[in-house]
Amino acid sequence: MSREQRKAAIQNPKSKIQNHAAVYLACVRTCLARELAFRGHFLLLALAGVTWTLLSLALMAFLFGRVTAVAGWNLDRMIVLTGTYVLVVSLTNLLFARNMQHLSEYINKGELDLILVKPVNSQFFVSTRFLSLHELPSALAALVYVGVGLQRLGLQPGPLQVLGYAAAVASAIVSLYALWFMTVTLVLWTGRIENIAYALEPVMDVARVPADVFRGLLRVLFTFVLPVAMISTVPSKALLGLLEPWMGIYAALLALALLWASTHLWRVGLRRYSSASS
Amino acid sequence: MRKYLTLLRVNLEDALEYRVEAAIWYLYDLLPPVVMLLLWLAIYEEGQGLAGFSLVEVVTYYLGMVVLRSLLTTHVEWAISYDVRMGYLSRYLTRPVNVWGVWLAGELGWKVVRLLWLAPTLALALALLGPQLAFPPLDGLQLAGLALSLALAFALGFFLKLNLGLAAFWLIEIEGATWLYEAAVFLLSGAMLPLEVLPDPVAALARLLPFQYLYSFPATVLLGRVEGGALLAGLLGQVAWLAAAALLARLAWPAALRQYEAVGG
Repeated sequence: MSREQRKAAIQNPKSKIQNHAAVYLACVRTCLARELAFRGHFLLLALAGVTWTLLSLALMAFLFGRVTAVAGWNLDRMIVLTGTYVLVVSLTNLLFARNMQHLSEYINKGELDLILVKPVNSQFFVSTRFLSLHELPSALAALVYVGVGLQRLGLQPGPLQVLGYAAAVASAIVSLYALWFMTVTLVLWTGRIENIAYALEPVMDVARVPADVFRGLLRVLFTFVLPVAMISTVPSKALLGLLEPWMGIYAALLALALLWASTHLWRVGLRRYSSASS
Repeated sequence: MRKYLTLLRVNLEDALEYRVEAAIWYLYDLLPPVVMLLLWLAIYEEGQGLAGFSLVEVVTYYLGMVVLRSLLTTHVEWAISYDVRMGYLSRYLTRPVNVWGVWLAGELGWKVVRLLWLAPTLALALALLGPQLAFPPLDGLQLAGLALSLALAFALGFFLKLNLGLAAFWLIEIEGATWLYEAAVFLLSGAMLPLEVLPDPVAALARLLPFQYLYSFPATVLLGRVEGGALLAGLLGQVAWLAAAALLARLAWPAALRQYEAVGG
């Protein structure tokens, strides 16, 4: 798309979708330009991300190298699970982390005004404005993990399994986004909580281990209420051909339900919003 | 001394205003060890042992990790990089106080508020796991060693982070450097896995570096796994690294102040 075409698409959109797509593309371009302007910072963050990706695997490799299998998960399957965990978390961070940090600042400081007056869907705009492109190397490394794990297992997933995997990964990202957005939005009711954008990260950390490890109430909590099992266990099982179909359907439905709830909460919450800046 | 007590009180009152924030930061210290503990429990449930740890020891180790992470970890590097970036450091430099003392008081305030959340979780864990927890009978010398190792671990962590924070005078943005530091702590301090579980070369690396003295060493003292000469050697190791970290900070401080531009101050 040329510059004029983009401008035209934003100013005289043929449809709402085309308008939002054009706005999103413009945001991607400014983010890319920003990352290229601060190359040293970008490289350092990318390096730190890849280091953490290696550590995530090392942690599980050291532990599972010493046991045969835990709750049905051996070392090779854990490589697939760890890759999936890193993939979902790094993609979620790439797409939403900075947006949620900014959103929490806008809400905590009462600075939403300039966003609410823009002629785009406000939830779309606050959620997609920024990208953290330094997460990309981690996501790519994660795909390598998944490939290596499959090879060690001697598995060649069919198109149905690959499709199921992609759908499960997408569901996980949508669920995490919706949950993240809702926790930040809650500040409209509670009043200032400065680090609210960081509340979900330690919960995502739980997905380093397969959900089959949990027992009793925790199992129910992490499988059906918080989408922790959806982050790593459900997609990995889909790829390995171990997933009960109803669980995949539940994951997709949960993602849609959480997404719907997030838009609803945002609409209701904005009625409570009282600006501090105008 | 009185002005530092006042500073401590002011910082405590300030931190008390951020109780909910403190609860969210607490999740970062609480959840990772708990998840690792649940994984170990699943391993033991299937009848497999690991690295000579008994089930009771594993539970005590990871519960101990929650306490150590909560009470010993400081984040003074955030305070420093914030004060440098915003130019607030100028305020402290012009007053008759030791700036490091100001930062230390800030950290202690947060630690007291952290107790507010740690105490009930710990009480709950003890009530639930009571029978599974067996603190080894430590003799007087080991108890004194434990108290000393905890104090030294706190001081060592503070000075390591102080050095990391001083990097902010040159780098301004220390996010990447902090991540790399936390990466070393993640693997080499015993925070996620006891050093006994690491493969030999990695464990050897961990024993060469200061991070083991933050969590791993106090935890092994708590488990009653070290006594006598080994206890003394460990404490001396802590002292040596503490002295090195403090000396480095002392040497870097004048250069850092020369670098300081008082942006926005």
